[in-house]
Amino acid sequence: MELAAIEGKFAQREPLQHVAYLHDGSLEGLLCCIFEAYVQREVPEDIVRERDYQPRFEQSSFFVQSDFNRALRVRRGIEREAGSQAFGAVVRAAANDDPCAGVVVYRFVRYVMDKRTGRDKRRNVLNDLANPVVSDLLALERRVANEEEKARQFVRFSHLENGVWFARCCPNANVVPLVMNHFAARFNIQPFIIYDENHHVAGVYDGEDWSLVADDVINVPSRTADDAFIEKLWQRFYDSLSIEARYNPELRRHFIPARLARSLPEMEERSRTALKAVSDGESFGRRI
Amino acid sequence: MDLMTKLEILADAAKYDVACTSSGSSRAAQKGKLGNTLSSGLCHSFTPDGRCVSLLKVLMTNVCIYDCAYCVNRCSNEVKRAAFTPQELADLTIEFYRRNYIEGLFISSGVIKSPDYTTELIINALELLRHQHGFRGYIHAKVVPGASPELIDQLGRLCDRVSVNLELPSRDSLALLAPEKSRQRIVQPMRQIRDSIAEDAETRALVRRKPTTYQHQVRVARKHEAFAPAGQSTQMIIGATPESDFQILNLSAALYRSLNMKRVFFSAYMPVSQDERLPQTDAVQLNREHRLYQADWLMRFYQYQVEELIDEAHPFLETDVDPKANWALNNLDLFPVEISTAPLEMLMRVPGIGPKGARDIVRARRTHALREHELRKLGIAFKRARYFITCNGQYAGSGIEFTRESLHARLAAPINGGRHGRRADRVLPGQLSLFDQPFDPKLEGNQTSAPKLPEASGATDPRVALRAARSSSIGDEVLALWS
Repeated sequence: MELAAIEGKFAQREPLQHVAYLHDGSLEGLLCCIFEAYVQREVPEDIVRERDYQPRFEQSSFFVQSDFNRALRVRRGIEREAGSQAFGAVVRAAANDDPCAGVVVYRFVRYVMDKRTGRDKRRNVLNDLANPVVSDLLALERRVANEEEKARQFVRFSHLENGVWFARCCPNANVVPLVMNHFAARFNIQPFIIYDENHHVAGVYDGEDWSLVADDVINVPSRTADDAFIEKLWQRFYDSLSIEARYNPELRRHFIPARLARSLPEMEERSRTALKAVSDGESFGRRI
Repeated sequence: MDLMTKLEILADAAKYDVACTSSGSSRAAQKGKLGNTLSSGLCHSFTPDGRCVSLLKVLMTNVCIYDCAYCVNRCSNEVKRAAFTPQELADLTIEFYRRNYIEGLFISSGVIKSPDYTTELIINALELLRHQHGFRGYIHAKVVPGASPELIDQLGRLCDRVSVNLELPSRDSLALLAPEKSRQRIVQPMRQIRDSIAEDAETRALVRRKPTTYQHQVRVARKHEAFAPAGQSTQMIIGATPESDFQILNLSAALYRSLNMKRVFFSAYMPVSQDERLPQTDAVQLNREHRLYQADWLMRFYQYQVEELIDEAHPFLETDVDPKANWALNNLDLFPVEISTAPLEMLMRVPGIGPKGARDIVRARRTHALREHELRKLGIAFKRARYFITCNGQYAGSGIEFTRESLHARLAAPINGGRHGRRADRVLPGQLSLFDQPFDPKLEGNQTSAPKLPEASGATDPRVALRAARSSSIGDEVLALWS
């Protein structure tokens, strides 16, 4: 778009030299920051969530208001230049908690929008694995994809007295919006809530459609008596699966990181003492 | 008996069944019905031994009329017996599934009264699951040897995967340890399952095909439910009988080829009985099982032929290097390969580069020269791969003598001085141990140098050599050890 047209539409200010863009933490916020950088003809040093911001020396900051339409234009731009797969990578990378994520995404967008580098339509940008701009984005994406998989594996629902199924999780990336489609399809017969304790986001499925609720405090009614029984069954099942001759906790720790093991019913303190008994040579699995 | 005790007994009895995969079939969710399946599968927990728990793996009952020497549930063994009712099992599966504990059900059984009666019980439970609860998750069922073909057909249409246990790697071993099970009763259902899957895929393809003319065409009637869309698998016990790795790998290759198995599982024999027909040792052959699985992966994902991995003159796999490294060491004339030009299939054969790494290299090298830094960023194990590659004509493992002995020493060196990985291996070389040495084929008088690639004429081009190796593969599809 011509500069004159942009000036007519968007208020332009004096360009800042060392500027950090702050946003509200949503994907829209990040995309709007990228839009802002083009409008203001600035190269931001940092693009971070407002609550994560740590000012650098002599740096000014600028909060960018989220605007759905602007974000949509950035999305269409990325999809036009690099394809929808690239936008998928951007969505995942943006969910990463790493404070560098904003700048990495910004550099990637600059790269695909650049007429000298991004215009070759015959080439998929995501194949440039050795290019630092692309590989940094894909590294962020891969970490989020792994965290997504962990969420699909280790989220555990319990049945509440009001009929809702509730799960807590503590992922180190904002993955609840990314896994809601999976859970909403699979458990479409039960209304459920997945609450992310790290990012204070709840994914709510009401039996028809899902939505996100940002909330710091969450009050949960107590579980049904049945639910506690089923959980105990599950623990008992897990305990009896172990084969002593193959005992290999290093391998398990590789698959279930300690931070996630805490929230698993089968891995709580009770099991850990029982497992210790195995390593000490006692019998195993006959206890609650 | 209460549900808790039943579950404990029947899960404990089923834990020696190896397969716990939930992959291979993709069934989309449907409004108003519980569950779906993902083609990649999903693991929901891991046991203290690091095996994945993806399915509710239980026996229908551990009552058994057979007396197989290697089995915990043999009728002569004095253990507590229990049985689920079909309704109990279906309800339990649903309750676990709704809490995201499991991906589905793995149902096996001891033989109660007769194979047909047992299969009918299983079918009852699965029908409750699929039809009463509308369950669309993953189901893996074991076929009891000797069940009638009609029941197997019914079972296959309720399951995602069915499997018949091969139990032991040869007919003679089977006759010795499981006299009531015959070869015919095991291989026959496998053949039936293979044919039903093929037939099902064929009718589905016909139904999907769009008519190219405007003339009226007869539509092929499609059976409502697919027959075992995730295919069939099997498992056998390793180390209870004297078969060599050569026999085992050839048998599994024949199973993949002729019966279209999706997986062949190996299970290191665990001493569960005092029968004098069985080896009485506490050493579990876990490392042997591991090497066999490595060879199995090479056949399924790296396009190795079984005779490249092992030959009759050296019937056991190397213990100190993995089969892929061993192949590379025996074929040093094909290395080092040039990263920027080597074909995909040759890249996959470099130790340290896997299928994903190889594909990434092929993608990335179109636009960039790849050197050590880039290769490390791509995530390949450069530490191993460096001895076998050149980057832009420069040998990456410089300073190392390019001979079999020198490279073998490099590849066999334990990671992190032996302090990496499983605790059983924590005894460092040279350290005294109070316990039995783990199984070591070398001690049994076997040679350690490994098979050679068949000589190919003018094998300078790796592709020519590979093709020559493949063309000499066994053409005969019989299960040699079994027929």
